[in-house]
Amino acid sequence: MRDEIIEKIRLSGLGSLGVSNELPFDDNGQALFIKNAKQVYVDNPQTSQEPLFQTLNGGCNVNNSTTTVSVFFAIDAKNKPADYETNIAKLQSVKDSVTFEGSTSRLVFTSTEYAGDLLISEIEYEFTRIT
Amino acid sequence: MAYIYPAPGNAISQVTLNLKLTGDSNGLDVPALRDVTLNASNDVFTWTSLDSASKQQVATTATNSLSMNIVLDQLTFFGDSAATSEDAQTAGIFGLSNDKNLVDFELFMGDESDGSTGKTISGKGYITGLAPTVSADSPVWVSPITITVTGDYTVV
Repeated sequence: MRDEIIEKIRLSGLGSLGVSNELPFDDNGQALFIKNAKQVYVDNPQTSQEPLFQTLNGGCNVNNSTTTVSVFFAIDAKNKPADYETNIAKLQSVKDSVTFEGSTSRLVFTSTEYAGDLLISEIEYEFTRIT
Repeated sequence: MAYIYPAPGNAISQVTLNLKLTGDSNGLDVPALRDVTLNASNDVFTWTSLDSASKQQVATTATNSLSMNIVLDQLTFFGDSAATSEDAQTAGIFGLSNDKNLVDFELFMGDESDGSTGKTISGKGYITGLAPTVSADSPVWVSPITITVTGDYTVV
């Protein structure tokens, strides 16, 4: 799924932002997306499962399986690129083009925070299906 | 004191319901039971007499039924055409209801809290009351099922 998201982001054409294949790990205590501003980093998918319907014969529980993927990038907060809003919209729209068989919901959450003079944006995709 | 103790997920002690047609060896195990209600409702004959201030009552015959809600599973609800020599599995729950088949049922109620083996209630009945339902905020189909019992329960 991560590879596909990277591919879809690349195809969306982000203008002032590049797309990295690397995971957003910490390098000497600094996340790569802070070290390398204007680069989009896609994290590993995280999955969780919770029962949607508990059943008496428990092997047949109906579960909600949620897969979450986070995308990070940082830009100069003092000089916000002109295409920032457009890029956010493009990144958000990726949620609808990712292959996720049997999905019952596709959500995207966007948040920002400051680190020094950088504006860090996080886009979190949340895909849910029944298992 | 030993309470009946169904343990969801424990294959040995969880609640199970099996439906069989004549000739079946294993029958159809009904999956994804959400709840089960065992009904044993005696009718009561009531009369009054001039020499008593209270009504007299006596229990007569019982109306027995088993009701439950399940999450629909395609193969068990609509039948598994690949199942061999298991008529209940081939027909599925919907088929058994549609064909008005008399089925033998076995409901295992779960083990006792002291670890002793629990009771199984069996009998014969007809599957009625199917009403599969889905809504926008429920991504799976659920349906009530009633087994209208003919005759007595057998407890083993």
